[in-house]
Amino acid sequence: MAVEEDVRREATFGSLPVLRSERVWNFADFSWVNVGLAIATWAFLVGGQTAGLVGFQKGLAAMIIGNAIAVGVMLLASVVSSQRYGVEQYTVLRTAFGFGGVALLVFTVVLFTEMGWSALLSVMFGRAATQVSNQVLGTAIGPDALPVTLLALVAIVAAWLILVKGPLAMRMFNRIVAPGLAVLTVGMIVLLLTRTSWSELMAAPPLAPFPDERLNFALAVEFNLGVGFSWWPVMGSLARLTDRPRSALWPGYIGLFGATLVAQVVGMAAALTLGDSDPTVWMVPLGGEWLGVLALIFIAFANLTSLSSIVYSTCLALRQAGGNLLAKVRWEWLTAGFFVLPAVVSFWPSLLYDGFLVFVTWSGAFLAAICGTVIADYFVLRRQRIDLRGLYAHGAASPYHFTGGFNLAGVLSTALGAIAYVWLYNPQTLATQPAFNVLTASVPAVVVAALTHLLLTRLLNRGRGGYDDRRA
Amino acid sequence: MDVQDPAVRAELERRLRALEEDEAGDPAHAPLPAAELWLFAAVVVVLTLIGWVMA
Repeated sequence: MAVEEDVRREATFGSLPVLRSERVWNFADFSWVNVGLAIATWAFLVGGQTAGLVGFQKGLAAMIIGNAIAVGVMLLASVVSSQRYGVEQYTVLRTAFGFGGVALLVFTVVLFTEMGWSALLSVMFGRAATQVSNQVLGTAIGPDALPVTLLALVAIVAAWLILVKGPLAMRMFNRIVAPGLAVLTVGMIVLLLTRTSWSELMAAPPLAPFPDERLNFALAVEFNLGVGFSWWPVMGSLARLTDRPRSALWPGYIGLFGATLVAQVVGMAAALTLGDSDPTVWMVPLGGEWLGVLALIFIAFANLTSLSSIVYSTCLALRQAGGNLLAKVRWEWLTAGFFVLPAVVSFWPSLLYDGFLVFVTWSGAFLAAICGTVIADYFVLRRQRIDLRGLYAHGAASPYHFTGGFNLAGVLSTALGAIAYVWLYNPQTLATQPAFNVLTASVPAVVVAALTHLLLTRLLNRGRGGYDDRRA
Repeated sequence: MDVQDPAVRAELERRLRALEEDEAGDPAHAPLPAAELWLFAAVVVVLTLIGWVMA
């Protein structure tokens, strides 16, 4: 019952604006928070997948370009407004999408993106655990065998039990995992440097490229753009606890660009050296039998904490966006319901794990468009000024009620941005337009969504949405 | 969040008043300065160019 109370308190009072005394993170604090967030097991997976398309030098270039642009755009669309007003981002988003529009985004884009990441992490747990079994017990379990699924289901149940224990249990696990992953990354750097020469690394061919070299590089950039945008669902809620605008923006960039890049590059180097994109396959060849097994156990453990953190923040967002309906659902049932789809997906371990690029670019299509809409709304139309009381006013009393709770301009511009993305690069069929090789798909999606939002707001929101009050 | 819940409403009102009265002018609530925004954009552009040159 205490956990139910904790969660209810965070879901309700967590939506309220924070006061000065509650803004506990300065520049250095928030930098460390972001570094801890960035060095996660999925960074290794991203490095491995990038190595599938391009060699080391082009991979490094793709990671720099993709993360530099996407993390920059994503931070402007999430941390700046939440920091200024001290309000978590799904409440601030009402200014761009309306109350109903936010619920629509949370229950579609955010929910399915986070369910995908959850399925991916649980399968990674399963593969790491079966690798341990193969080494210690001498079994020969393949990467898509039934035990991988069963262990993925064990991961889901374990993460659910951590969630049921509440936020305090998660914070305790995270305190062990974040420094541990930093040690693991440094250890991998040392082992890679002792086993591979620089010239060997630079000469290593990509693992599974397409015949068109330009397309491979463009896909690698697009993939890393998608990874950069994938931070968007969690960043605003963290940034509201920082003490200055400068303490939110730059530490976000230092952590999510800088630290991510380090972990991804290590992953790419390991994949190119060992000829496999799966991080769970690298540890034993790199560290030897016992060190490798220890690293695999730690990776499995780290995935559990990442999994529970993702589901915790997503289920809180669901509760906040779901109104009175979801407020009545018990925390245990809400989190259990979230896990149903990831559990089903884990029966096809390679679906998301080997289709990681497809998954990340699909979610990137929508997240890039959302970011474009939010930036146009907050920086251009509102000039960084929103009506704090209006965020919490009920129904039509709020300027952000728009049309029946939906800002049609915001929703339509996001949809058009995503359509522009899919026209330039279809993640499912991999069909591309010639412009994709130069422009990428995410950058045009941001631009199309932003410009459309500016235009549609003029056409559809005259006297609505509080846009006329921005100079007040 | 149920803004019609009296307890939540009271807490919200307390916070809004504190922000409007006690914290008006606090640097925590300042907008992101235009110069900083342009500097940030410049860093993004420079890093992107470094990536293109490297490729």
